[in-house]
Amino acid sequence: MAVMAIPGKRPFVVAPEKTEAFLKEVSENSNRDLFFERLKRNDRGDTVWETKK
Amino acid sequence: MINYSFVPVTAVSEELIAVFSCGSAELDRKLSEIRFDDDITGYAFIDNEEQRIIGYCAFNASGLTLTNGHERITYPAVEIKFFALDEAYQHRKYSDEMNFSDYIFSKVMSHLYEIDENVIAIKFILLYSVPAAVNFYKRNFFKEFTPYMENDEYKYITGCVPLYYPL
Repeated sequence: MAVMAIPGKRPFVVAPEKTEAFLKEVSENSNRDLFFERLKRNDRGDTVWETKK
Repeated sequence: MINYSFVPVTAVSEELIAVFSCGSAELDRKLSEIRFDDDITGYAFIDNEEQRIIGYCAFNASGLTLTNGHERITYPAVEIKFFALDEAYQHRKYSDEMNFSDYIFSKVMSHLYEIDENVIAIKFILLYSVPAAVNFYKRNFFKEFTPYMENDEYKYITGCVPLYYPL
């Protein structure tokens, strides 16, 4: 099994005393540009999404 | 160039599902079950040349809640419930920089970006990872949520690690 996610048992709730630190990490870690730059560098355009059922 | 498609699990034949094997009998069975599960949306990745299932993912709407002052806010999120590749496609290189699994997962992520931009806003992608897969998600830009998580009545977490990605 190389990769897998399973259903979580706890909700994603930030502890009140951790809110500031969490928001700081979120604001400092926007990986949108890194994500798309990496995908653009590597994507050979060989996938297609079909959303019709 | 190899051609892959991402199709709704509901559109995949029973014959293809029957030969899917990711190394976990439970996850193999889940692929079949999510076709009839209204609570999650599942996609299968199809190798069009080999006519076989590369893997699948399933996600649903979720939320990430935090308290800011006296205000309790729940941000819209997507939770990835399942992500698994057939053993035949695991540990394959896609490029110098990415494994094939990274590439497939990146396509799932970019699909969620499209939903966020064109359909409905998503602020976070969430998931629980088995310990062995945490590094996979970290190299795909996810961060551990555990340091910020509120303690609650649940005393067990089955060894899995909560991770988040701000979209």
